[in-house]
Amino acid sequence: MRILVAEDEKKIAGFLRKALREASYAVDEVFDGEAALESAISTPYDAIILDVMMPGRDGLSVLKLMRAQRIDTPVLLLTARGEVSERIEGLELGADDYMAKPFSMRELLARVSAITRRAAATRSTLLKMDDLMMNVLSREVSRTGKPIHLTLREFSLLEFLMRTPETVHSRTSLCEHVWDYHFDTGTNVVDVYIQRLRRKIDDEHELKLLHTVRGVGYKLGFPA
Amino acid sequence: MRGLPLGVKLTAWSALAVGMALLICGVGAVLFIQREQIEALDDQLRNEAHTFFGEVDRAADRVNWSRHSDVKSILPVTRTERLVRIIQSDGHILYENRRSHAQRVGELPSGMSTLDTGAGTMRVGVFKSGHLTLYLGAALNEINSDNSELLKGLIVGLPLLILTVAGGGWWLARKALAPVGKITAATERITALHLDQRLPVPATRDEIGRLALVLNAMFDRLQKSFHQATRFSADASHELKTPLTILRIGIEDLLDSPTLQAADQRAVAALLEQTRRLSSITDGLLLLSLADAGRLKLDLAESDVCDIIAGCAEDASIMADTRQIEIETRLPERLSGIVDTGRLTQILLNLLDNAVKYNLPGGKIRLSAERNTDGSLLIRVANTGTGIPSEKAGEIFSRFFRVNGDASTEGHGLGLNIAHELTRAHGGELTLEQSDETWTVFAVRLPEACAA
Repeated sequence: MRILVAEDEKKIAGFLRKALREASYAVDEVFDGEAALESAISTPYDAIILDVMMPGRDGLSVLKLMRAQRIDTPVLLLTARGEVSERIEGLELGADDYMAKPFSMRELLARVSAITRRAAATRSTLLKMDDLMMNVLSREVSRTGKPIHLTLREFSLLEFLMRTPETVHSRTSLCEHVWDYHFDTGTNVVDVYIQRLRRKIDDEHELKLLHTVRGVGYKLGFPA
Repeated sequence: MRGLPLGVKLTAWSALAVGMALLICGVGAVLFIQREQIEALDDQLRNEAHTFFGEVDRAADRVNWSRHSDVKSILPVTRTERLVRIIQSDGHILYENRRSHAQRVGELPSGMSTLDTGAGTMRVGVFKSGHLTLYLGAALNEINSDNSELLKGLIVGLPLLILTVAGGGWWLARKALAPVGKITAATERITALHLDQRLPVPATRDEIGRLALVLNAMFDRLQKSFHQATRFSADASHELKTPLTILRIGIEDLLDSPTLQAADQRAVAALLEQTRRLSSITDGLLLLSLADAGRLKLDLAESDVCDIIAGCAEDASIMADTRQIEIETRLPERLSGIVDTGRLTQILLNLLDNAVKYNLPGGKIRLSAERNTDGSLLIRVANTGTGIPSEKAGEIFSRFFRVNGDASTEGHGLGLNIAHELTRAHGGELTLEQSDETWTVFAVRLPEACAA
């Protein structure tokens, strides 16, 4: 898989290149907006990591022009500001995900892997993973036909995981996508919910569905 | 009076001033006319007395004082009947036509005086000439009734005049204040987001024109400093976060490196922890600098505030679990509001974080929400604990403030300040409602505009 990194800060770009290559991606680098737009249009990348604040043309404008030219390469935006309005603008312009600096490299890798696998996110209201079933409308969950009672947060967490099966999510990513918290909660909230969820959906069953990926986060899927 | 519009005040004051002036003039005029009339009457009485004494001198020999008709013949002839009493110097009454008033008339000093007869007032003159004293009195009824007509006219006319003046004053005030209203409306439109707009300056160079010019000059300065503040927060974000990013991914990279000695691992992990802490403080400060510049944008949408609170309560139960703190929620069925869900969550989590941190093991946290009669939303976060010392209650919302004054409690001392600013960004207010040895209660009040 080939990835374009558009980041004007050479040191950060260097770390990105190193980490992505270690994760066996092919990496191209550009250091300003104009070059990013040119490369995005001329080369079919699998994903683009796009810094918002760049000299010349900024990341949001690159994204806008790219999408206008029907280039629908998945885009992960990197931003220093982390303002809500900027995040919404980015997602509305067609970014696939958004990360505020300072980010963790492991998390970035998890998210890159998630956006290159975009097809998973469906808007279906009946979700299924093996014998685990979820009806999003009636808010009912069952496994092997046996109903499972989930709290508000547990339900949202499971829904998000079921919509992106086999995708590893970091704690921060879950916090942002499930809780809509774009700030550091400074707690282990996510781990506790995962434990509770695991108790409810996996404990009585031979086949475990909710897995911990060491050092990265969690995923819902079949054991490796 | 204080809360009334200026136009109403001007009208009221001008009507009041004119009313008072008219009342004083009217009453003054009535009193003056009355005095003039009495003086004229006094002159008349004096003349009559003078004529009488002349007649007495001339006809002294042929008047028999005991004969009524004789006396009458020398009395002055007048339009209205007079009170007459004639006394000799030895006190013998020569003539008296109204005995009923005899006693009070007898006590009058010489000169003119006013006498209340019970059936009206009288002006009585006491004149002396030779051995005779003449008491001559005239009823004041006529004068009084003239004046009461005048007063009646005043009572009917005054309100009419005041109404006319008030109407005129209202019209004038509205005409004079209309440009002020326009300036106010235009100023209201110029918010943080439209600071490039300016007030229309009227062509006239009067007070209003100058006001518009002065306000525009102020907007220029405001826009400049706003610009600098925003620019600062954007630059600061970039300048602070770039090295933080390099630090964080660099340290993570180091932690993963196979050459790192096991003994150094803990030290490097501690560095990573401090980097996270620094990021969190940076985020907090940047958020506050945006709030200071009035550029904190909210992502407003209609949501069920009860759901948001219930979610936060669920999260707080996790934070509180290890200390056996019980969380109790008192929420209505539904409470819809137009809020920024993420920011409201941040407000509540910051409050709940403190409610857990400063609680006693086995204590309680109580969360409630309600809609006030004025339409505003009120969310309360209460916790048991030792409370905030009253001398420190005023400082709790300031930056980097900690109750214990040291860094012994985790966190960076920005939580309450951030919650305060985020509530303010919603147009609401965060207050410490109560804090004693039983409960500490924070109240988040969101205005009616947030109610859906």
